[in-house]
Amino acid sequence: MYRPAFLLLVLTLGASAARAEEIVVRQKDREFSMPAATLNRGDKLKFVNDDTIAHNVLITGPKGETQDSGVQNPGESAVISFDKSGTYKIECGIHPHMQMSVTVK
Amino acid sequence: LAVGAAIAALAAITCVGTDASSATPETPDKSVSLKSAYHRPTAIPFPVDNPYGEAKADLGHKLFFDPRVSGAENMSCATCHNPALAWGDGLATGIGAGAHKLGRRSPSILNLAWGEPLMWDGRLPTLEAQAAGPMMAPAEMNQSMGVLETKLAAIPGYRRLFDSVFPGEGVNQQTITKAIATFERTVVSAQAPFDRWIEGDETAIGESPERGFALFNGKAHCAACHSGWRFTDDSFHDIGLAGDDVGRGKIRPNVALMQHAFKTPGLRNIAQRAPYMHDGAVPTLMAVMRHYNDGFIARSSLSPEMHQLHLSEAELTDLVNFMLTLSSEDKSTTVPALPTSEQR
Repeated sequence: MYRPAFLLLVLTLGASAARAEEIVVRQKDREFSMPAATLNRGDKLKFVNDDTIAHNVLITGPKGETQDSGVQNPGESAVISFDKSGTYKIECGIHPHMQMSVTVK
Repeated sequence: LAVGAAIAALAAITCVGTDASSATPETPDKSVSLKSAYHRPTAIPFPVDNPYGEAKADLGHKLFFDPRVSGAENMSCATCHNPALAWGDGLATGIGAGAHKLGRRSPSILNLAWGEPLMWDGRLPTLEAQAAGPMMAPAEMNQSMGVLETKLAAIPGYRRLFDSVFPGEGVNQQTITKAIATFERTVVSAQAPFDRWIEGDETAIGESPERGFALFNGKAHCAACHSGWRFTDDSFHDIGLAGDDVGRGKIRPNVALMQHAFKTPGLRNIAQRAPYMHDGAVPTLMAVMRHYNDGFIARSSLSPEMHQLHLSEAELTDLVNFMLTLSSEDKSTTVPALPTSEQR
């Protein structure tokens, strides 16, 4: 068995805000644990790979701009901070059926 | 960065240990749990905006086998997706308009009702969109959709069928592709010895395929991508094949892992579908096993699921024997009589 490995990847989408909330999204069985999230500016999503295979977080921003987290092996996490209002599409760049949306107020 | 983002920190502790799940025999509970992931579905899914209809599938069946859908009227969908060849063409790479050799292998259309997105690079989201793609591609069937609509509408038999299936909608790209996609969704591989084994018939497969199944889900790590009853995750992976085709990398150019990545093909009837890979470069299932064992190219985009497997010859043989149990005796496909200009 793979033992859990630990990766902290922080992507900051703009400047951070005070008292930002961090919400955990789990990647398990080729699904995100929630289909959508609504955040305040500065809040963070922590993507935790609880699967037995590698994943990725690909973010498409309100203007179609993209950024991804690279490889997230089992046990690894990626923390993404959202500072700009708008709607973001999140998918796994490897497994495109894994999708969720993020609305930043 | 692209979305006004900045990578604030990056720290990693590498994985330790190795996948040794196949080193110990499976417990009965684990075996039952594993088998449950491979049960076949009981119904074919059809989209809400294109529900199943028998007459619609029959119309799609005719269109699928009709060479008049190509610009030169010499290629049908079945030219490259031949039911006698497990709905592929048996060639390393497809042959398009003017006998032009294409760059990728013609994929089988088996079980595509579950298989979106389509194409080796996933660029088409639905079977309806896929049906139009090759017809209109200059290198493939080189057809103008406008010309095709006019041509089919001028054939009385087709006009009558479209009027019956799509009342008031006419002959157009939408109705043509909906009919073809409906037919394609009915192309489903039948029950194979593996399915009978999954359902409890312990005599349906031999000891070697049974060992192969354990390897497939364990030490050989195949199920990381070839998952579920169709044996595909409908996702994209660079498996370290030679060549300069970037595949999914053209669709997701900013995702490093998608360079040289191609869609995981399902494995149903795989023994009837040689040669293998997106470019048909690998001639046999045993050669495929050797590729995964230690024959791939290590590069930055290589799938993190790819590892040197260190499988023995006996284990490689067990894996091949397991895949032979995925071959089904599918029902024969009738080549339909096509409407003619004189038909009334």
